[in-house]
Amino acid sequence: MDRIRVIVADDQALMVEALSTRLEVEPAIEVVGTASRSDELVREFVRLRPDVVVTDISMPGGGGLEALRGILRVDRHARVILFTAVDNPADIQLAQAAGAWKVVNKIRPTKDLVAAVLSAWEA
Amino acid sequence: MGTRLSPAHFSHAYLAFSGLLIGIYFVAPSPLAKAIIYDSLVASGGLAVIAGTRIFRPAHSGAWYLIGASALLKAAGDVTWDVYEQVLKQQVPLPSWADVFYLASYPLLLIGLGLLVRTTLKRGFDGLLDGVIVALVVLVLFTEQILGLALESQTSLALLVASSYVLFDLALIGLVAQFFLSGLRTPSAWLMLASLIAVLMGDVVFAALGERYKVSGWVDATWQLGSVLLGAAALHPSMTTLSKQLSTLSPRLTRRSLAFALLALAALPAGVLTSPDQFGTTEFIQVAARLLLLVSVGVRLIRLVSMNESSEARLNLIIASSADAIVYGKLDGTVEETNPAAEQLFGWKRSEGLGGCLNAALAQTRKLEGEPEEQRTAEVVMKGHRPDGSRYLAAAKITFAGRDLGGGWVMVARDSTTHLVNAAAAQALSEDLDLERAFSALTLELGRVIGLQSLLVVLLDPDGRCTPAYLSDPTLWPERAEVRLSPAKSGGLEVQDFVLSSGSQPEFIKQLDLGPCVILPISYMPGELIALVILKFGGSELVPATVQLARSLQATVERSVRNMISFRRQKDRNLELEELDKLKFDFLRMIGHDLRAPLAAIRVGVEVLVDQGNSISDERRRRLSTSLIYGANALERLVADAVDASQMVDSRFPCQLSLLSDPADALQRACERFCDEHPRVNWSFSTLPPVMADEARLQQVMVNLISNALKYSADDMPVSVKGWSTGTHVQVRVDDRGPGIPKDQLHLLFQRFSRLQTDNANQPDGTGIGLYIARGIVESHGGKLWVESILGEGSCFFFSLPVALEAGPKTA
Repeated sequence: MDRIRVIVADDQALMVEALSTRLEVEPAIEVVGTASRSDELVREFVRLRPDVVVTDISMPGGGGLEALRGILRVDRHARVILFTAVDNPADIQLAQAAGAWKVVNKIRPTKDLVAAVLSAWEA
Repeated sequence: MGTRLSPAHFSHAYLAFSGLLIGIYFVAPSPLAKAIIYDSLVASGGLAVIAGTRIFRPAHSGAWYLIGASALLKAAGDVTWDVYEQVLKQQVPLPSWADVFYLASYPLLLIGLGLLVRTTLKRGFDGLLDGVIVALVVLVLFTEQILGLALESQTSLALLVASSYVLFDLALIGLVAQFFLSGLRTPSAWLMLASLIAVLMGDVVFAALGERYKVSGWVDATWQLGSVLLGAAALHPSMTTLSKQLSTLSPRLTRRSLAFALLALAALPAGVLTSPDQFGTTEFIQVAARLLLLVSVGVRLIRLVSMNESSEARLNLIIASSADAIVYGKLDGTVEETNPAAEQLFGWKRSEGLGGCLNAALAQTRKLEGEPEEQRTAEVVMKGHRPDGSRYLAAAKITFAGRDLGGGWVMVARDSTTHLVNAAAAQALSEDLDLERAFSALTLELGRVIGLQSLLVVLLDPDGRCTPAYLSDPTLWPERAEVRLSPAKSGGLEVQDFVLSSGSQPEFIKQLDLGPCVILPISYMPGELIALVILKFGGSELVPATVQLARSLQATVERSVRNMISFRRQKDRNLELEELDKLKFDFLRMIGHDLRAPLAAIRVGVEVLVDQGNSISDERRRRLSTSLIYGANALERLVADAVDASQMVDSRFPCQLSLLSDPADALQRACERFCDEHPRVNWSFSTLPPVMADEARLQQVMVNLISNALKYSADDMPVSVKGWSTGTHVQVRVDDRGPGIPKDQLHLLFQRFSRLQTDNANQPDGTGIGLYIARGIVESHGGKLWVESILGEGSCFFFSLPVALEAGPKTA
């Protein structure tokens, strides 16, 4: 069975490290790439064509939403999960309107993110 | 509770009871009963006077006791008379023992009354003269009747006794006249007068009747009434005021009194000429009385005229020295009389007649003409031009003089120009704290009241630059004019520096080409000139009165401008605080976000380690743990920055300075912190002189500058640190090969709560307040921190610290 190919992007190196470690604990998930900037994320997406993208919203290089739009321009079926500390409903609505698969709050346990990644792939 | 007994009731009750007895006297059956009633009533009058004196205790009780004693002596006389008639049944002889008592009573009464008149009236010689005149008039009118009886007496003793009555009565008439002419208006005084008149009437009628006198008739009743009224006067509480001094009523020479006096004078010699053929003793006395009367009236008239003359002179002096303008005018508009103050107020000479300014007075008096007498006054504010062109405002009271004075008017006007103009100015300026709006109102108001043409408010910078804050006419300020006071002048300009003629105006006023104008300098504190208020009036020359008036506004205008500038400064300060508040809010939001991101990363990292620790490789666990430590360090730095920023006071950071003898060593140790992780940091320090410094804070500055340089430059680019001495300062520079900072954002670099609006790509961790804190620390050391940057090549941060002059701890 093919594993789910995931890219993790966050401006905090620690967050990328932690998330990658966590996701790779799951046998079904493989972290194929990381990014610390939004423009870098779009480039990596084009290069690696992952199944699911996990990205922060506030990020240098244009921000997570800008990256989301860039990715959807490349592949309008791309599954992008926004993993963010932003809890403002208006911002979340904006993210969903922009085409995010799901928005997961950073304060939630990481298993929520794992569940989101799995469901994104299954869908 | 019964009706309260007031002291006045004694008098009323006594009068009522005595009135009843007099009635009974008329109907009493026998002469003896009549005699008893008569004697009792006369005696009661004397007793009442003594009782009243004891009850009310007047100031001159001695006078009252004398009057009372006189009444009792009179009663004794009456008893003696009745003994002759009723007991001895014989005709009362003349003179008799009764006459002894009667004549003895007169001096006591005269002395008592004289004392009261003296203390009460204080009219001196004129009062005495008035009394003498009236007594002489009575003597002249009744000579034959009064003296006739006396002169018919057969013996010389009888003649003396009969004449004494006449003389005493005349003296009493003189006293009564003094009471009459003095204006006494109390119940007691009226009762006293009535009593004296009753007694005198009885005496006169008794003398006139002669042989026809009958006992128990009206004459007797009048005498009784006289005694009773005297008692009632003493029993009335107002008797005490009879002994108090009244204010002197100065007699005026009126048309009526003058005509009366002239008539009397004319009639006097006529009496002498009427009976030249039978010139006896009576006629001689009458002629003598008339001549004496002539002299008395003459003297009295002369005294009256001289008194009137001197009072007129006093009145003239009062009018002439009045500070208020006083004008008397006719209804047709001609001014008849003025005083010097009026000439000054209206600016015309007494001889020049009515000015146009008095039309207001004229209109008012016409209106007043129809009003009732007591309402014929009006208060108006008069406004006008003087012949020299200056303006005046006056608060005036106009009174219609009435037809008998020729139908004119009197106006008393107070020069209120300064007061009213200042009040109007203060009112206009108080309407608004906005300088422009307030001065717009002031210009309008002053234009209305004193013909102000235009007004400028010029604000002065500390360096002498002048900017218009208000221009009543925009063309007054030349467009794009850079007007500047010479720096020497901007500090301590005084009122006298501003002169009026355009020739000697300060240079910058001349540039405005305003012509003659009055300049009011406004200072905030002594010596600190902050503004000029320039007033320009119409005409080519300024009249001194106008200048004086304009200058009187100095205090009012100065106070307002000061308030307005304070208000403006406060408003600016509020805006500044609002801006700062917004920055602070943004900073809090930013720092909240900045703290949250690493915290979330740490939380996720820890969670992974705890929950999945067994499922991950040792290698990954080690990497994650290391990352966690870095993350925690970054978070700690952020919190430290936030705490430091909150400690800044006036952009300075509180430091504990002490002598740092080898600054190069301290700076080097700061660099060494980076050498493990960042070998691309290289440094070189020459030998540096000692500085006063807080070593820990100094190292914080170094760490901040080097971290920034590392952050903003690519991984393979070197960061170089150099330190050297300029002699007076230790100078340090930190170079990076980063992207550089745009020129228009250099000034934002060191601001509190601000972050460069650059591409987020180059915005690493941190709140952006590190440089703000670094500069605060350096400035607390008395040094400077600055940056030079070239876009695309890199930035270079410098700081300098003054070389220590003396050793010793110091707190900055």
